[in-house]
Amino acid sequence: MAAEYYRLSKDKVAELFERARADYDVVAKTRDANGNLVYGRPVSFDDVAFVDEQPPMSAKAFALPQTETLVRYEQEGDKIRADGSEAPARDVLLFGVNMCDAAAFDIVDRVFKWDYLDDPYLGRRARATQFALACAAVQRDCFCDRISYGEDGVDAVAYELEGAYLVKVRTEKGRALVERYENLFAVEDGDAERSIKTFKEKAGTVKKEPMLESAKPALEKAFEHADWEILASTCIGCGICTYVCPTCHCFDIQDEGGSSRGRRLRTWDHCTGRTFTATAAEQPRDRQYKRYRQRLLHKFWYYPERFGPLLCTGCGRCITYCPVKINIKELVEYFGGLKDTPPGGARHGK
Amino acid sequence: MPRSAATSSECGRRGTVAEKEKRSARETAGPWEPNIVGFLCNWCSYAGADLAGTSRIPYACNVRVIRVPCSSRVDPLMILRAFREGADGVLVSGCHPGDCHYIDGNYYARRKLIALKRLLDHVGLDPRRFRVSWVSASEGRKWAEVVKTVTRELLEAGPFRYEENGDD
Amino acid sequence: MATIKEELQAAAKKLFDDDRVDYFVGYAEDYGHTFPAILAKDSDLSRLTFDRKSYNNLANFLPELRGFRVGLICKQCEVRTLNVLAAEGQIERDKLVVVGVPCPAMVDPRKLPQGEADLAALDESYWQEKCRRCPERNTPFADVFVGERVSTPTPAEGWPLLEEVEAMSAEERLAWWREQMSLCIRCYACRLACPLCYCHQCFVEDNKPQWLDKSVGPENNLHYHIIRAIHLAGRCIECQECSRVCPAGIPVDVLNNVLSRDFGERFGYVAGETAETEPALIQYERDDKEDFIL
Repeated sequence: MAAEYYRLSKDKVAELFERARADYDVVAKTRDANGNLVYGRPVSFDDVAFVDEQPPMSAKAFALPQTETLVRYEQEGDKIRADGSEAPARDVLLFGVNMCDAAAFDIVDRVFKWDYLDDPYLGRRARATQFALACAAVQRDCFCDRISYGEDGVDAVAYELEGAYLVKVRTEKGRALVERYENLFAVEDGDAERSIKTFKEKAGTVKKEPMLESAKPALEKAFEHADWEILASTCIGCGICTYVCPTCHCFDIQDEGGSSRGRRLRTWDHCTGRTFTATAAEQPRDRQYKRYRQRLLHKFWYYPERFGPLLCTGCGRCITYCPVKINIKELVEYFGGLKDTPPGGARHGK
Repeated sequence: MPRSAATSSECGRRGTVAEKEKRSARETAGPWEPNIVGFLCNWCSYAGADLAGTSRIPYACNVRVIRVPCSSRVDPLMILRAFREGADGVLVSGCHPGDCHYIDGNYYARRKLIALKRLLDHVGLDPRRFRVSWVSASEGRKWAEVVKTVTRELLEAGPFRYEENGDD
Repeated sequence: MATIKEELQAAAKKLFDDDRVDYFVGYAEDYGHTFPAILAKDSDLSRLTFDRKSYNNLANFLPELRGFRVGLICKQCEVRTLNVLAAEGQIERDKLVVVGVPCPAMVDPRKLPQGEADLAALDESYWQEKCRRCPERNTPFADVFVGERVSTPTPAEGWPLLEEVEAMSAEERLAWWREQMSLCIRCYACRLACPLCYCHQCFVEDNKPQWLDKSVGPENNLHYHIIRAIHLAGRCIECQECSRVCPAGIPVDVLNNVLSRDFGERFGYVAGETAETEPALIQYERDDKEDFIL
């Protein structure tokens, strides 16, 4: 559908939140016990942080929880009762989610409805509406301006202007949200796209060349590059980049329990981990740099090869929270032929 | 007043708290009894427990005994796993220092178990839930006393539940 | 007057020119961050630096470079780590060149001012807690010392955050730790950033038997952290890397401090003082204090 534009005055945001709570399971930014910004379920608008600041964790847990029971079973006499996972009982509204998090869902959907329809994931996605809040300033290490894919699948986006938000609606779900609370939204009559453009220029989020998609041809030839070993060997193989990432979606399936009762669950896993591709016979990625290389190439070559968009929205969390500050953008630029010098100056070159 | 010891069929039902409570509702056996896992070293404590039995000393049957060669075999991982699997309390019992069948196993155990005890205390776990005792092969009576003490304390402490909602 | 950066770069270059090392592990400065870098003979050394964001314990990268001759920038943190590793037979000291530096104390990343700031001017209240306890800021046992030695302020006593947590009642502590454990995402960064967690297969990776459930929840998370703390009993040298890297901001090193302090008081043990100090859990005294045993 063609985009539609509305205006939501700032003093109506609290009311929108309160009224939405009656109709949706509302997810919004709030603070946790350590004062970190998180996506949670605050019950009062006083606890909502309707800000563009990026929480350390992305919003992906609402489509793909970190731990999710797939089947629960229990022996009852000589029978076994098994219960599958349940579809969400209510529609979910992601209220004030960052664009980099909102844009990720459509990208990740593609693999979850590819060769196998992942019902738990798709069930949650079907019931979720995104009401994103565009960033008024670039966040720490982010680089969304270097990634072309961005906003097409996001239901509604709010751009902060003077005294109000300009809301751009792109999908039926977004329109349904506005229509439900129509007395809070006024139809925007100005040149909305121009306002958005000005907003992005001020924020520094206008797309800039060279876009990282263009690294793919050189990456396809870079697998055996001598510098992977020296540049990616400081990777410690933790799961931080994978778990904070809005597009990473690998999971492990585990069984817990015993013969009389238990559950089968899936839980996030990280390809940078030492055991990720370890099998009884061998470990094909036997060095840490090979595991890091895989992660980068998966996101910037293999995934776009198969599905179109990069498996990345440029949020930059992987850099901010990386214990050794490995910079995926710099490495993509270097191995992708967009830049001559490697990050940190290291070079093997033998 | 301590409650009287449960019969062996009621003792220490297995499973998580939620499951235990669910089963309690279904079955009509009496009140809740603590589920205690005991790691007993083969040469001293297990023999001591055997002696309590052959001497016909009555004591609560809430301790489910796991026999290990030596108290130093007990890894803190096993103790935590026992809690995860539904134990309300865990007891490790070995030879008195100086009497270990393997000469000094229990000295190493002591340091390891001290480390675990300090951490469990620090994170707020009720100290009654993790106990260590030295019981020799001739101390049948002591074994019965240890079990009596530990069971009584756990009856007071109540069921162990770390997470409010259990799994998921 | 050369800056510490210039001196370090010159020292690294000399180590390569004299063929004393195959690799040099230091810190590089790029894209607004300071981060560990493994440099080779033909690497561009101009980004080599040492500043108040040089957090990483560089000894963590030694296993990856096993068999090679390595030059390594070492703060007090790294040297104490090397002492423990040496006592455990994990390093070949003659293959290492310890490059000592005058440590200016690291700024707590959670207190880093936004934007440009002169980090050198920040006072003690910005430091990582461990730096206030540091006994010697000029790297001891250095093979090569770079820069001007600095004076070390009197080390602070105690572990403030540990003491704050201990001041709570047992119920409060139970609730507090459960809350912290509910924030843990089991990324294992704490374990992997720790230079003393060098087991090729960690207990978390065991599956015969599987001790630890992979599902993420406060109880499983707590079990992981407790066992890790026990495995570090008497070994942790308190570099605070585990807490620094935690993406949820959980002060996991408090658990390690419980045992550092306890083993110090109970067994007179201080980890990493010398390369001869035997690990605490593989030794005992006949009269080790036992105050809770029936």
